[in-house]
Amino acid sequence: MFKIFPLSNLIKNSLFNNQKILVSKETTHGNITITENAGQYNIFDNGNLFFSTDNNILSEEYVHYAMLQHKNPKSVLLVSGGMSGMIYEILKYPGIENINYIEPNPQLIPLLSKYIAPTIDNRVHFYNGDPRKYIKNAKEKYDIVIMAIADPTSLQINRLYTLEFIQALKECISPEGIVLYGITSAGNYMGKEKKEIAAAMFYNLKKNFRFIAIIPGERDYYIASDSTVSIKISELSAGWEDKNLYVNPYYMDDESISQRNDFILNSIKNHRTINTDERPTLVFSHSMQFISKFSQTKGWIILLPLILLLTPLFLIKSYARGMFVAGLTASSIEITLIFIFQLIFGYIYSAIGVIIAVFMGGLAIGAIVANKFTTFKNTLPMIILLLAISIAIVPVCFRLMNNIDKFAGIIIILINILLPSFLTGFLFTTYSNYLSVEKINAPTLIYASDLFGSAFGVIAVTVYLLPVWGISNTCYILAGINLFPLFTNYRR
Amino acid sequence: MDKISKREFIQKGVLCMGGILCPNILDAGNSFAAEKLWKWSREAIFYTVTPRGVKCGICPNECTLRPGETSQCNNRINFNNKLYSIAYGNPCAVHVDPIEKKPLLHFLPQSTAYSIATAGCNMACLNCQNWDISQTSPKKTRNYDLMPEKVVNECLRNQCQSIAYTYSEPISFYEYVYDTSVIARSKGIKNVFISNGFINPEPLKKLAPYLDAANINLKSFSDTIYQKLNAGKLQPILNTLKTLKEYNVWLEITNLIVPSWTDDFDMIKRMCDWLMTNGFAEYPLHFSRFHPSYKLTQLPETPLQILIKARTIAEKAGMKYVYIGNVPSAGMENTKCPGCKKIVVERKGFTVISNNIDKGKCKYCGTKVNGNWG
Repeated sequence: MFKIFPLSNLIKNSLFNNQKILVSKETTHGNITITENAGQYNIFDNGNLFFSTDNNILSEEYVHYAMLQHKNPKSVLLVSGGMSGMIYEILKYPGIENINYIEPNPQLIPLLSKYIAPTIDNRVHFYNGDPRKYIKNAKEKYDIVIMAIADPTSLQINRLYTLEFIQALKECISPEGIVLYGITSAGNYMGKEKKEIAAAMFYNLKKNFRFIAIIPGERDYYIASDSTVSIKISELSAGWEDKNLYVNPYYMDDESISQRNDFILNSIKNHRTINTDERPTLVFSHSMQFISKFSQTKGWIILLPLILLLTPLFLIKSYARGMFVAGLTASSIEITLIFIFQLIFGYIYSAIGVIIAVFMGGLAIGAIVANKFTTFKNTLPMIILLLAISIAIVPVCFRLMNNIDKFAGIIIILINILLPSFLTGFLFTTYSNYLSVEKINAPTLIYASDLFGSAFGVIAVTVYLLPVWGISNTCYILAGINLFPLFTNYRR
Repeated sequence: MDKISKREFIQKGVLCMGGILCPNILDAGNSFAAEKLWKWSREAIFYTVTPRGVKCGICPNECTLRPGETSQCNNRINFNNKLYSIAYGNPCAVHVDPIEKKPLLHFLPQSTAYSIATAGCNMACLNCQNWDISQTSPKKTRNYDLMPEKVVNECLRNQCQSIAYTYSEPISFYEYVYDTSVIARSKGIKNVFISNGFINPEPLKKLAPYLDAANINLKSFSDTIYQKLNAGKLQPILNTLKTLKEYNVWLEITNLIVPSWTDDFDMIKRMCDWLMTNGFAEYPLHFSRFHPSYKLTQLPETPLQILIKARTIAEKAGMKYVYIGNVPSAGMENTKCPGCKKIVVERKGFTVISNNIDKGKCKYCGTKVNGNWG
């Protein structure tokens, strides 16, 4: 069938117009596509451009802006970017003894190796897997850590930008060690979102390091250390004229760098944003920035979920409101738990099917079990209360999961998913059985309310609740909303 | 309890969703804001009052605005049937840049340009690098209070040889550009216009005598692509190039090669042939590398081989000074003498390594190298 109607190929060809698709593969972390155009390889991660070959500027900036700050860098940790030429740049430093290169997606290096030859050197060690876990267990101390990762546009990437991660990162660098992050350039003007992004980058690092330098370039580079760092790259790169194509005194203009550095620092001085595991503000700022590309007025996107949340409550009858709220909280907590899974384990793509299956299973079991109970007035408050408790304990479990092994963590997540879904299924049958005695259409309305609530919950939690309020507060808000039907006077 | 029928439920649901999902209702504040003048409003120079409202005469969009309406460039409003620019003296971006960054490689090398921009643009390029100022209103950006006299004073204080009207689109803040240019000219400061060239002949002819240099972004050589990629038209830009040449404004042309949009070699050849036919052989042509931006973030950078081939096509067509921008690589930014073919200006980035031009002529063979070399 797919051979007769190759829809997937048609979409890919349209997406990667004028490029020859060399490989497109589903991995645990999502789809990786490699294309070729006029001798240039382009690597896409879930359809988003990851990097292209032939970009000396980016490789040199990432590496030398950090390396030049250190008198004698010996040990380097490179997070992503190794296949785009950065290892080659690091090896230009004669004192290098050890480069540990970690690539978050384990399938990326094997796939890329067919097209781009990895740098083979006995000082280079390749690791595949989650950088968070790697950092947590790291025993060595690095002189330089280069975070050559994408912008924190998704929760998956943001976990490598949070305060907690940077704290862990600091533990594995030497006293004069340097950490470098690069994010999309602020350009010539900084709007609200750009300021928030820059502020979060700056203050997250500032909370852990004494000195921060911002060097604007192809991207904006945030360099942090407890030893002094300089923005005078032209001065630092003296003598590199013949070794580097780009990072050398010819291309680097310290005066311009200084002006742009001041421009960013002045722009963020009234912003004190921090990006944490619990409150991923960088993702929210990036989402708002993305939305502003399509709409000049962004306020509606904040108001929308709130209005969506509240309006149907006033339109539907009291017996359906209970189910609306249950659907809302159940779907919201499901999304929150998916986020937590991603945060703790570093991937979601291959696990999402299991999570949804457990959630749906919980709904089904709850609905069946509820048939054995017939006393509506006694059962309902207890179930609502239990549902609120099952949501309120999620933050406690989240903290626990940070400190236990993967298997136990997965069990806790699944229990956290199963409990609310079971209770929501239970509520559905309870409402239906109680009300369908006199109202023949009650199950239909209850089901519709459940779905409406779920839809609104998904939007509210992803767009507003999680990014703005963080995990714990979101759970407490959801638990509180869930108690709302207790105050409703149910009448047949 | 009141009964609710399925029909009522759906009716109310649809009404509710419709109301919420209509962003225009929540966006109502904008049109209200646009009706008011503010400190930075100045009556526009080029407009006509018509029975349908005021018709802006600055650019080929020729927006006809009813009272309270805002132009496509977000920079002009109809207030009581008069057209006002709302971005006079309030730039949102102010920087001191090397002139080579504009790019202008044959104009006062190694000098700096005091660069200003207000919000707004009369095009809507999908790949805009400054989209957060070009695609919004001056009322929504955080602006500086910088009237024309102050711009000139700041330019002098920063020891810049020129003022560059750049980043977004100076055509949309025309009145501010014009008044600043007049003052700058009187103080011996050069005026540099970095533009998409989408301007009507009359305003251009009024401004051109005060301009010293311009870099016009000839985005493609296809009207269809201009419409789809940039929301513009080709012919007015070609007219602008001709007019600027007539007025002896030093001109450099930039062609950004966007993969899958403007990387058609036949089109590049047609563009170069047109430039040759119309007497632009002596003016620099910059092929610039695209970087993923704005609504085209899924597109990769322009492959180096495509840029090199474009340069070969241009050189074969007869263009004398062809450069490749945004790529640090040996030889891409050097100026060769059109006579003896020796490198007369060797550059690395914004740095001039050696300059072998004396009084506008090649030191080796005496051939004239077109430009304003200071």
